[in-house]
Amino acid sequence: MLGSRHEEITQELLVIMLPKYTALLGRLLPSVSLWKKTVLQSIEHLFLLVNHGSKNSDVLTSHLPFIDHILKLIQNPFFLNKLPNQFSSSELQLIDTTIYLLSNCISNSTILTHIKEKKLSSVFLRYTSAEDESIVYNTHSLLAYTTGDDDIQSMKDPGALLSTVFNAFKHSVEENSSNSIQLLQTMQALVQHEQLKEEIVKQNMLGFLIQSTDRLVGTALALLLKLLCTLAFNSKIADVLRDNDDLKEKVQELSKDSEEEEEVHKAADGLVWKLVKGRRK
Amino acid sequence: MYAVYNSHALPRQYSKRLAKNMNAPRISKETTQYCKILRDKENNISNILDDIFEHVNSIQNEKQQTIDLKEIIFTLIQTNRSNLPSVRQHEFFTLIQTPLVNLLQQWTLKSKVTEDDLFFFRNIAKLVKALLKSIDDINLYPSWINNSSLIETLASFLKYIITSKKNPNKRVIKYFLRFFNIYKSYQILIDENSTANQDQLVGFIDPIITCLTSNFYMNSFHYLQNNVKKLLPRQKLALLHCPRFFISYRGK
Repeated sequence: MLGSRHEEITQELLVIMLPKYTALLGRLLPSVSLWKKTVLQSIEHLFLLVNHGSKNSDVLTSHLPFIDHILKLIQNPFFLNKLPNQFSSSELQLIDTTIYLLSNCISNSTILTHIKEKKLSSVFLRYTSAEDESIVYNTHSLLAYTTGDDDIQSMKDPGALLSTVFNAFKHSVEENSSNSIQLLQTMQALVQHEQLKEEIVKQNMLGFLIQSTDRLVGTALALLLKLLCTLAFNSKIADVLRDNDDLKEKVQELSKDSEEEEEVHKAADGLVWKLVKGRRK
Repeated sequence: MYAVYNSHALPRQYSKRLAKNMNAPRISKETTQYCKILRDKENNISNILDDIFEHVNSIQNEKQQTIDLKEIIFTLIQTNRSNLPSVRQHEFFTLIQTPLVNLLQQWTLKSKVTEDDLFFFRNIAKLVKALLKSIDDINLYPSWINNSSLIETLASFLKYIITSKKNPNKRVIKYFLRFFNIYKSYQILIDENSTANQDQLVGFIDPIITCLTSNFYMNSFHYLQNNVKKLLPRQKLALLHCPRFFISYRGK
């Protein structure tokens, strides 16, 4: 967390500078393939400034042409053709920071809608082949939030996207890493699509998700319960969950346990309703 | 003679530089002695630094004190620099502050830079860099690092470099960057340590904002458009160092 004064300064800086940054990128972008290390680094640092502060995406909503420029940057064949691992270190840094900036911006609904309209799933998908963990990781969340139903349908193999996110989640649970929270959010966004709910069944992911209710706590557990609740809208999945007495018992306990955190309570309540009470309907 | 101790060759040159100015005070005899001991010492310089500190501190005449300090600092960076981290908390190094502050303030007022001052500044920068090299624990820094008048002076100097109409001396900026880098690393450790006072370096924020919103910052990108391979020190400061410092700041 930034101090409140520093937060203000950061915001003022962006308000003053974003029109200049936008004009600058407009001038520099056409010669992307000629950029030397000096330009790559300086632009990367400029993006770091834009990414700084918690209100940055609010300021960016009035500067959507800036977003357009960075979307153009990652679509440039100069970078795309260097996937998965032909980047110089400063190119890699710039791409990493750019994708990170974009994945942060989509928490703002105006920017999210704007990026969705550009239909860039196929471009983002190419970045999932990058040999760089953080690029892949942040591209997943970009994809999860910006991919529309029609994109999923036109994707050659949407299950592959889900399985990379799932495997990363599996890894993070096994390693006890804090990444599981973001990965659960990404999966939650993906399984909104009916086709990907089906993929959960096809790829036998449900078992691990159910097991993970014993291993996660707090926010991660709450997100996992919500994810199961969303999945239960698929009748095949709902049947599997309802037949699992251990799970039902555990979730009922969680919803009653007064020691549990509020968010876990609420999520468990939702799932109980879906599995037990929802059936009577 | 020179073949015996190579490290002797340079100090002599340096003394020659001083000797050009006939009116300049001479290095005190004691200091010359101490420097000789320093040069011969392979390790454990803490005790000799105690004596040197006592001696330099006792010199009443500020000019004389500076002359002696110059020679000692020069000797320290000439000798085995790997000895320095072990004495980084030594009192002796608090003596650097005053001449450093004077030097920077003087340059902010009149931009003329003498070779002698520049050489002194270079040596202080080298010394401080060697002293504070690769520290990973915030508690290992000496307490003068966040002295408010030192930070204030460095911060004003940063502002001066960015806003000055005349192009400030390239080498001055190059050596200044060494100091700024030290504070950048320090700031990153402050950021990582939640119990540390997050506002220690707030003095730098205003000049950094001046830099990031300056014409110089934007114009530097135009200069880059010509696909230059190397940044000048002043551009490096504006385009890379100031943003880095700014984003690692988490204080008020």
